[in-house]
Amino acid sequence: MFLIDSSHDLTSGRLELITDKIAQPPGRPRISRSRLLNRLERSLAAGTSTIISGRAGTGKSMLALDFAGRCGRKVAWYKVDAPDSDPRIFFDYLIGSVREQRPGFARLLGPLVEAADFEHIDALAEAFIFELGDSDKHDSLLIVIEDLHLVSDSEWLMPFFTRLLPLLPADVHVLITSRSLPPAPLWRLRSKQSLVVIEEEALAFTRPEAITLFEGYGLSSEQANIALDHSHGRAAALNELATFLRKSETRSNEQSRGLDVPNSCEQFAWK
Amino acid sequence: MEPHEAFVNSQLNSIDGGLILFRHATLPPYPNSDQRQQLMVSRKNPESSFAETSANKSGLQSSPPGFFLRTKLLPPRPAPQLLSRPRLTDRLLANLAYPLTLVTANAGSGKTTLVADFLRTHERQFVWYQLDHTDADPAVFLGYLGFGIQKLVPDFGQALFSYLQETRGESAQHPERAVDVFLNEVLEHVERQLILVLDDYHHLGANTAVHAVMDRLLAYLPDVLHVVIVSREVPPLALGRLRTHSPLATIDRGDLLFTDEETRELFRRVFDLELTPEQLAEYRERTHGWITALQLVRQVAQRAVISSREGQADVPDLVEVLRQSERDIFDYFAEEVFSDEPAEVQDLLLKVSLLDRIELDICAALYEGFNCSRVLPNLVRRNVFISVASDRRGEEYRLHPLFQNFLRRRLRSEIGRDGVSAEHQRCAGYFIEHQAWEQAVRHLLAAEDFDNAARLIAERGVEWISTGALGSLSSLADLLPPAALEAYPRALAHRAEVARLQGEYEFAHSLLRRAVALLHDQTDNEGEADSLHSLATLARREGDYELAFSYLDRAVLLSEPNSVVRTKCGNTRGLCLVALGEWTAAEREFRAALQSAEERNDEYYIRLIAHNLGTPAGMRGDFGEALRWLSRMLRKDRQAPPMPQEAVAHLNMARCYLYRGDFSAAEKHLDSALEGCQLFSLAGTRAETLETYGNLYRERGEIERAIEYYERSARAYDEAGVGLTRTELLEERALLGLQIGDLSSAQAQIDHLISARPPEKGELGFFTASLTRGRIMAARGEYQQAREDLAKAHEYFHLHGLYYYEAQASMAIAVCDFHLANERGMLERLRRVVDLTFRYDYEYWLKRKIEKYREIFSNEDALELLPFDLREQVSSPPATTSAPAQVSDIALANQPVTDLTVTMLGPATILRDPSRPLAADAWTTRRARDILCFIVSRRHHRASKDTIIDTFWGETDMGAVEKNFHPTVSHIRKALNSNQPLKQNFLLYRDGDYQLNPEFSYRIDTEEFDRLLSEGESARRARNLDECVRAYEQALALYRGEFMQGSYELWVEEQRTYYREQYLRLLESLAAVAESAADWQKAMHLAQLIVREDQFREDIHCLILRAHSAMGNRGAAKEHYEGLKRILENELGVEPSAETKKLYQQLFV
Repeated sequence: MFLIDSSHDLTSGRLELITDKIAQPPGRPRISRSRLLNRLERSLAAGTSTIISGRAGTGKSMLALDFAGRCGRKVAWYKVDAPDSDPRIFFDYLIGSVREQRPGFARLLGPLVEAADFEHIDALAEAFIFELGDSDKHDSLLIVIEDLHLVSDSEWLMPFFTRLLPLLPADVHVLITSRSLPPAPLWRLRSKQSLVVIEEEALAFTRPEAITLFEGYGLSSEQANIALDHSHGRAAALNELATFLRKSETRSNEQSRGLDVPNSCEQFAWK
Repeated sequence: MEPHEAFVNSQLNSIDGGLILFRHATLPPYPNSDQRQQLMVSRKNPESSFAETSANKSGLQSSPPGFFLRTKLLPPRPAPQLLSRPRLTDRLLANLAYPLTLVTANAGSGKTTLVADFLRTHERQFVWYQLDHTDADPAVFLGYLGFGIQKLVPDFGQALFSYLQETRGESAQHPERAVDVFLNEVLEHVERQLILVLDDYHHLGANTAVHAVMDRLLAYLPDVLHVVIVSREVPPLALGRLRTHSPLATIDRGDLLFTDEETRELFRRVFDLELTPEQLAEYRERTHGWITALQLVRQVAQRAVISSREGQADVPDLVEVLRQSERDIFDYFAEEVFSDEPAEVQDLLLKVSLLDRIELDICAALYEGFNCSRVLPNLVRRNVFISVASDRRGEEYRLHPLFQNFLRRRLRSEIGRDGVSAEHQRCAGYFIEHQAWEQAVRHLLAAEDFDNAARLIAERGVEWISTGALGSLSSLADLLPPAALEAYPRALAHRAEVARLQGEYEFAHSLLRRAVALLHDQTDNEGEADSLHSLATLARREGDYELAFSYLDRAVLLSEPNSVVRTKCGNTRGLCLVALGEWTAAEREFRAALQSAEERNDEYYIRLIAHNLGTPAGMRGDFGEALRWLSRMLRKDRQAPPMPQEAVAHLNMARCYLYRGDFSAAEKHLDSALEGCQLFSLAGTRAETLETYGNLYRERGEIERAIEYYERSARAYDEAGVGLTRTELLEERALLGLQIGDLSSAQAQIDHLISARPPEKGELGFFTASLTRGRIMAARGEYQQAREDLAKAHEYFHLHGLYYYEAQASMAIAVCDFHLANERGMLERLRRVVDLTFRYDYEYWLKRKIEKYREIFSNEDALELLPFDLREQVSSPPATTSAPAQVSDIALANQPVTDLTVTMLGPATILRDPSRPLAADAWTTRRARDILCFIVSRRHHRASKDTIIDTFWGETDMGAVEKNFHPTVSHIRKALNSNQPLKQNFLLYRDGDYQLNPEFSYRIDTEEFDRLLSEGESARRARNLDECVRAYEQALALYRGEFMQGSYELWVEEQRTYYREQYLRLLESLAAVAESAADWQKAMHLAQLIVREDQFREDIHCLILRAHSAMGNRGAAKEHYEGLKRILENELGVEPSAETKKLYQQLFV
């Protein structure tokens, strides 16, 4: 092993990438939400980027996962964590995730990141775009950046994305999930047609969706309606309720008793 | 909600080796600049540089570690012919009531034989522990004791073994903690009396921490244990402090010497020789009753008989022989005995004398030419100074120590130094092959083969250390010449590791530096990396993180990716970064270390590091993420043994759930944390857990309970030796004051805290306290000043990525801005509040804020910031939850905490925590409950064991008592802990008495009753009638019925009568007062209570008549009078007294 100067290697945290963070997570949603998938499909066709924004448990990741599986593109996945607020680490992972799909990606960018002082973040964004654009030999790509809110206080973040998103090549689309909307300059790109934002209101389950979900659990539409009112349409809460009802229903059936739907809902303790 | 800053754990010192080190007595100052910033968790301790290998892996297994030699726990098999000595065995029996029996006398005095005979004839449960010099490490010592007990009590040992493995060598530094874990388990699992025999205690030597273990063990020895120490010398224990050590509890040489009667009996029964009075007198004079000499005499006498039969006449002059020193006497006779054996047997005896432990299979392998399995038992049978210890699975032979000594000297003179060395080499070869490193090194040293000895230590030190046998490694390594050690620098590094574990940091440091240089010369990269890592841990301990980083950098360079050293380095670096408050960098390190542990499938480090990874997440305020990692510390298999670190993980998880508003999950984890703290004697973590209970109850609005738990927590911190200003408790109490509106008390608490925590002592601690103070000032209406303070704290939190604090500070500033009519500022802060709430899921917290500051969120622009469901909350009517308690209701001042409440006036009830009744089936044994009440009702809450047996078993035969007594006492202890997360030992056994543990506080209704009675009496004498009535009425309220209602034991009667009389006296006095105040209703009521108890009290009946008269109830009065007449007529055959008649006449006729 020939290491010339290790101190940089150590202190900058350029350790091996955590592979879990750049692997598409397993699992699929219980129901596909065509209303939202269609919006994503339209965004994919028309613009270069999409942000799905909503609080914890509103179904962002599931939607992104579902879409990634259906969009017909190669998918570079990057799950952001708090320590990635260091730009060097962020870029390492971002490049690493793309490299999973396009081996050899960022031959030029790699050394640049290593040497970068991050004051000229625009240049870095442009180099990234340049390398992505070298697309003749490649399939089109969807880059999913999950949980961007964990680093959204970082100063370098907005300059980078405001530069990156409008200039992405047509065969590359960036899909970001975040619990809160990134600072204003970024989501203003909406007006320039390059960014579509799906907000929490849109993520909320509609009545027909809730009913379909509950049918999947073997539950009635009446139960779905009640649960929807209780949960304000939040995905995680609906799923939890459905699971709870399913369990109590099974129990009740075992005891040969009918299920008193409203009571079961009332009994459910909100966390 | 403000459960503040809780990610502190003041007692586990983290390591990457995974040990827990808690230091209640000597808690060091927080090592880093920020006093509270200790991690939330991990702190195990001093990273063991040689951590992995079996001990680490075995951290996940429950059975005792594999290094135990089963044969060390074998009792000696009784000699075929034995003289029983009732005068001594009876003393042993009587001593069982005390904690300790000491049998001390020089070699060959029959100590072991006596104790073994006693155990055989009295059929007691016992553990026989044959000690030698390898047992001088507390971990080894307690391990064997635990292992021995586990063979009798299968449930025993889970916590102990887990603890010993987690702390590994650390128990040498703080042996008393390991003893506490041991004692807790004894109380939990051992129900029948058990005798621990420590044979050959003198082998441990003078300088070992095992003596401290024994001192603590004996000081707190539960009644079910009795210890017998067999030793050549009086052990250096603090026996003087043992108040219960009776003089009879020592059996010494004088006691062991044979009396004339015993000598005669011995010769007659055992040796089959009848002594003449002259012979007896001579033997007494010559041997002074020394059993070994007597045996020798007998051997020679038998020979003499044979010789004379064969016409030979070389009978020795016994008189002459016995005049010499004991050793010479022995040698003389040994020579005689030895020379009697055939050459083959002599040869074998000489060889086995070199072994420390003579096991049959070892002998068979080492001495193939000899028929060991025939020869050794034969020698035992003929009592040739060799005995055997055995059970069904194996046996070990033990040479008489004097005889072994004799044989070794003889061997040396026969085959010379070289010959002995060669023999030692042969033994060493065998032990190396069988991986018994310690014995191998011992023989190599004896053979003066230092090179191989050092090599062996270098190669096997890791496994060796993992067994906890630190003392043996260091003592053997210290016997090596320095050159040998330096030729094998890994051996030097292992020696350094032992020094580090034993707390000799400077010595460890110098050894490690030497080792690093030597390893470097030998280009042993892995070894050098490991030593560098050890140096880094020492630097971290000193708080010199820069130095630690530089060592770690070098270690990483030298080590292979995904090696154990890499994992350890990553973890240590992470811990340093946490200490420096660099959360994100720490997370990154932990993540990388975790990945490397995962790739090696190193389950131990996976759990440990995953947990560490949760701590920075928790500090940042990302509780969901923190929970995801923390939960990985918990074992998935409920059957797996508990680990001390889990208690900390539970506590941290409870805090996360509390912040998220999931109270039931928080409480569940607190219960588990508390159980873990009890199990592993984690005093500091226990205090933090109690504090967090307080926070939980505060959040739930159960103010009185919160106060109580804060008080318990303060007590626990005190017990752990932790000053309150180093904890969060003052701040939490201030927040409680804020919550219930007691602002001046809150302000006082927080001012005190801030003055003790200036920013230079730690910024985070200062700013979190400032945040609390800012909120209190805002509540007092001092908005401008509050805002300035809060802004500084806010800036700090923002810069350091402490989001939960930042959200709180933002909210508090928004409140100030609202009152200062700075709408723009307010909205800006609220925007941040909402943003952080979304990002880190603080919805529970935000909902509480909306509830509290409705007027702020009603602002149109503020409302706009909220998602629609929260907007609904603003517009909906305020929740009508129970109104918060008012200051007037609750004094924040320290309230006494009651650990146990016993009420006996009426049906007996026993209660610990009003909201957690004892298990419904806690008192299935009625006798157990009654014994507890009996002890409680005695003077000083104390009753002797004999009194208890007399009272509750009476005439029952002793066998039955013996069988039932200890299980019943154990039942009482368990009942008092049923359904309680906090396990306490309420019932102590001291000086032959059972007593309530004086460390706890009690509420006992009979005592309160007596106190009120005497208060009332004093007031009456001082003519303070109001005070007197108040006291009497309170006493009256306590009397719910007769003493121990429903119980008809003899002991109850006396007290029942006493309290009934007092009760009647009270009623009379109060009735008299009521009468004189013309409160006829009350007088009537009291009088009726009296006649219900005693229907023949005519004076009281007169009072009732007067009351009826005063209230104008003529009819009722007549009826009452007729009733009285009837009763007196029917029951006593008499008429009402003249006075009664006269009164009735006066009033009504």
